[in-house]
Amino acid sequence: MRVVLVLMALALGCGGTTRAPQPVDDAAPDKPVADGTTDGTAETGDPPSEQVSGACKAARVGPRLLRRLTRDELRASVRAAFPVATATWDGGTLSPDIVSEHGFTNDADVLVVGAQAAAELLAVAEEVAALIAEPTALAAILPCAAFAADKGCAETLLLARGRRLFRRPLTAEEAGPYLDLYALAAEQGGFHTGVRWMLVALLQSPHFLYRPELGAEDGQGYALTDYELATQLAFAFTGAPPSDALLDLAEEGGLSDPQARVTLARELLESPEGRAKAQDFVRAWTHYGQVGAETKPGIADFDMLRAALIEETERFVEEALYTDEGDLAHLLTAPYTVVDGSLAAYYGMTPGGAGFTRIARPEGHGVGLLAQGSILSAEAQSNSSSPTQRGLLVYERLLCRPKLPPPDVVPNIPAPEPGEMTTRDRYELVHAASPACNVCHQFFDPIGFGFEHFDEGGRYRADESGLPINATGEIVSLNLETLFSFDGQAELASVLATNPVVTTCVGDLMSAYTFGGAGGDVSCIASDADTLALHNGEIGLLDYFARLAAAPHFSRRVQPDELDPQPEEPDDPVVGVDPPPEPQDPEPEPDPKPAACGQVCSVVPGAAASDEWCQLNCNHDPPFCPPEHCSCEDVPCE
Amino acid sequence: MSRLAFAEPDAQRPKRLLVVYVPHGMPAEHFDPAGAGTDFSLSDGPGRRILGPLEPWKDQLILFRGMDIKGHNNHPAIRAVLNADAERSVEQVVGDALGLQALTLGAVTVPSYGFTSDSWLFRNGTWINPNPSPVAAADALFGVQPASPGAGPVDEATLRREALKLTIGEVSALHKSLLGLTRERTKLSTHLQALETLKVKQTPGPGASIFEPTCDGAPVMPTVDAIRAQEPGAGWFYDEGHFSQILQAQLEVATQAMICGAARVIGLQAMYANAQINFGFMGVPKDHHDPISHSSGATGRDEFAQCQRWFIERIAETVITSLDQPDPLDPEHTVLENSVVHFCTEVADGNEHNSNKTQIWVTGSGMDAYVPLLTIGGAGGALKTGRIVDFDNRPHADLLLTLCHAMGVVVPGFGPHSTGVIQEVMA
Repeated sequence: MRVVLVLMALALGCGGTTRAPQPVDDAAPDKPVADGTTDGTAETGDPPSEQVSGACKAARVGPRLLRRLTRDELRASVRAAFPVATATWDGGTLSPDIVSEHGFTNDADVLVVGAQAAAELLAVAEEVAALIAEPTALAAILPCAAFAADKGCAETLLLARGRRLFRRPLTAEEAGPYLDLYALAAEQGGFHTGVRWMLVALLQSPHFLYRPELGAEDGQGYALTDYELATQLAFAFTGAPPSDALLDLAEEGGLSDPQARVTLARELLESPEGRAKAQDFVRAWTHYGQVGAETKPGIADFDMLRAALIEETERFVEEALYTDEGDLAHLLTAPYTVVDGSLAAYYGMTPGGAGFTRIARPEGHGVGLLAQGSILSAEAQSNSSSPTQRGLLVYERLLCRPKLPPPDVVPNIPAPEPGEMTTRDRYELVHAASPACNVCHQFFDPIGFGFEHFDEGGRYRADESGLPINATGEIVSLNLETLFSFDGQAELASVLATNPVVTTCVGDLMSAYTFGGAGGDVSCIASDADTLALHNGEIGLLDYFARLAAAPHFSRRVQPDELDPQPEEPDDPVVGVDPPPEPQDPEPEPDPKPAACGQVCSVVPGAAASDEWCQLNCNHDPPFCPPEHCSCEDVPCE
Repeated sequence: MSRLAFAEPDAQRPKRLLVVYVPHGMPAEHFDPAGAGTDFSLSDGPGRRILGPLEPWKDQLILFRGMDIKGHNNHPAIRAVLNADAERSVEQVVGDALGLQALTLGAVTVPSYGFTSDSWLFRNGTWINPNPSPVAAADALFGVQPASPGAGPVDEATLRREALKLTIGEVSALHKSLLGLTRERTKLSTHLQALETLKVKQTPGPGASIFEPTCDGAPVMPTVDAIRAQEPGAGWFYDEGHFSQILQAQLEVATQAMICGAARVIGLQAMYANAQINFGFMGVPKDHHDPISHSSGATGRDEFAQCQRWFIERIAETVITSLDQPDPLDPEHTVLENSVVHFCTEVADGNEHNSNKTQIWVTGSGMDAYVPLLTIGGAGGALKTGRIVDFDNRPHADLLLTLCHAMGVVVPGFGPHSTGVIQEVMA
């Protein structure tokens, strides 16, 4: 994101600067530098270089906020606090969380408790409370229930388990209402009824449902409290709440040292929960889990292979990141995969032994993560490959280029004609031949063509129903200069692996994932030095992940006004249902639409775009504003 | 919006509203009936392929041709289908004005990997997630109700209310402590409103409905029972492979709730915009959004018509047939005569992606494609049914406004685009 911004600014600012397409070797990027200086290309007018460092003048610190637990975090929290009682709990019916603009489901800006969520949370709280308060289960965690089942015993449970749920001790003021509720319910139904309803309230508490990242003012902003640090550390690197031991360490001030946090984060990533967290990042980053819902009518028993394709990728990631301690380049170019006999037969590979085993990919069968059958199947049509979908994956999730909205009218790609037309022919016939389509597709279809030796199920194919395959492609700049050319997936992977734009993009996405959107802009959260070290292969991707625990954002926050002033909400919140509606005067006429001001953009005459398209994309963050399509002017606001 | 709405005092017939959303529009040449006004056919000529199943209820149907979802286009228009840029969606406005909480049901309304803003449909300031489980919905509507005070040794409803009161107090205190954090306070305001609504629902006694429900135990809902028998886990209802079964079950729940008055304002979302659910279950083993709805050739568009007809068949066979019986709440009329079922989608032609009336070129000839919007049922005599009304890109907000008025909810406008009630269909 930050590099793309620099790249775009330079590209657009240089106006007519062009260069001839270059072969891959000549287009190799300069080595990034860590001192924040540019490499001089902007001054010389040469094509913009793409580098890791220099875009971040200072590490970014995000705003103070409340972060609602995600569905997975809530389930993990309940299980961590009550492991025995929830051993067979299925997690309850909780709706999925919304995917934010960063592509992840843990963005604090969009996680709210609306009507449906509140109803679900109440149902889950009652379900879990009933499990815990069941006499046998309760006796296992609360010995006093057997001999002194009274309010004092309930308080013991409240304080001990409340600390796990709130991720900090309850104050006496907070505990009081819970014990009152216990007493009211116990009066009706006895001790276990009292405990049950006390737990229902505890499991709905905002102190459980929201992770505060508010901090305490220290004259230089807000420093997260020790408990907030422990909570962030645990959720970021295990997806689960802090253990008692971690809370104890927090109470002792043991998380104030950034390097100590990094060490601890790296240790957490080695735990089963940490490994699952690292796996979840790759899954959410590349969306490969979508293969679980894919159908491929032309591939026999594909439905039976979907789970194995997902397991293959999980095992590949484990090998690349844990066994090999690899960096991002290794993840993208590792020359092997991990398959069992059925998958080996599916791909036409020679199995390596019983069960899943690591085997070298045959020559031409691709390399690295992007050659995984799960990804290639997910980014495909049901009956053919899709250069567009595969290209978009690289465009959006490895290059972090801006999303482009589809036009109003989307022409159809002709149906597959085996032996008559290749997939590439069909896509070029519609997209490349139409200026209206090509205005966007020229940026990602040529990337996707590099995957054409893989069919809709991710299997290698030497030809396409007897027709030769052209898997050459290119990555172009916004000025349509060819930045990189390649032939086939392996060359594309090599290009991506050595491109610092990719390192920065994936690093920023990892920041977005680790910090749940970080309250907005996720660029410049990680240090340039760490991103540079990752790019240069000095640290593995897991090391980079752990080093986020030392980022300034990990331990500090700022008041939002310092970032983006917003109108203040009235002191009294709108609570309760709406008052009984009364007839009122008709709604006043809306104010006349204000005249457009700011950067007003319109289509260049004859270009295949529209004013709306230009206005939207030129004002996108980051902007996408090809000068051959759009022109803009600054219009002052009255 | 709700603050300006009130129910007409003389709206005594027990009206019900069901809004059904299905994504991706229609193949225009298979949807548009021949004729106009009250002289049209659903059994012959164009339109027969998709709307044919509704022929027996032609006299209860209104087709709104030529509406424009102002300010929106393509699949993201899903965000405006029910609210037309107003703060609240139509079923929320109607439900609030009638003193009812709208029931919001869904059938696989989010992708398995999560949902994005283009999946949004029901809005109430923020997104309202439809209940994904017809089993849970049926239990809530027809199952064991919370015990009333004095009914047993433990008054669960009162304790539930007390627990919610405790939570509301905590959220309120937290809200007050966040001075200067506008966005966080807004989050908590949303949370508070949801909790208050939940608390009100625990309150027994009259007031939830101006007509007492006639449900006596759970009605017959075979698909709901079949799903329940599978003992589905939490993830079952998000599995796209179960879509057809879930939708059928949700239609059963909505229908039975309408008949006995257990819920009188219902929204039902089938899939989501850009959904790639495979329709092999009804004979078209392809993904619904692309390639099915993107079809431009005759064969593909015929398959698209088959898929969209499947939805109309489900509505006709499950909902309309059942509603076309004497109303337990008003035996002099049928439930259908007292109800209005609104079918809507976000684009006109699935391949063209226009969300207004636009001339398109289909299989060799030009024709108008318009957003498929129709109603079935008389809304308690409020609507003049059995007709097609034609407009030239009139704001579809006017249709939402008309639905409000038909339900007896008098509002002066609906969002920024409405121009007035569609008088052509008001009795």
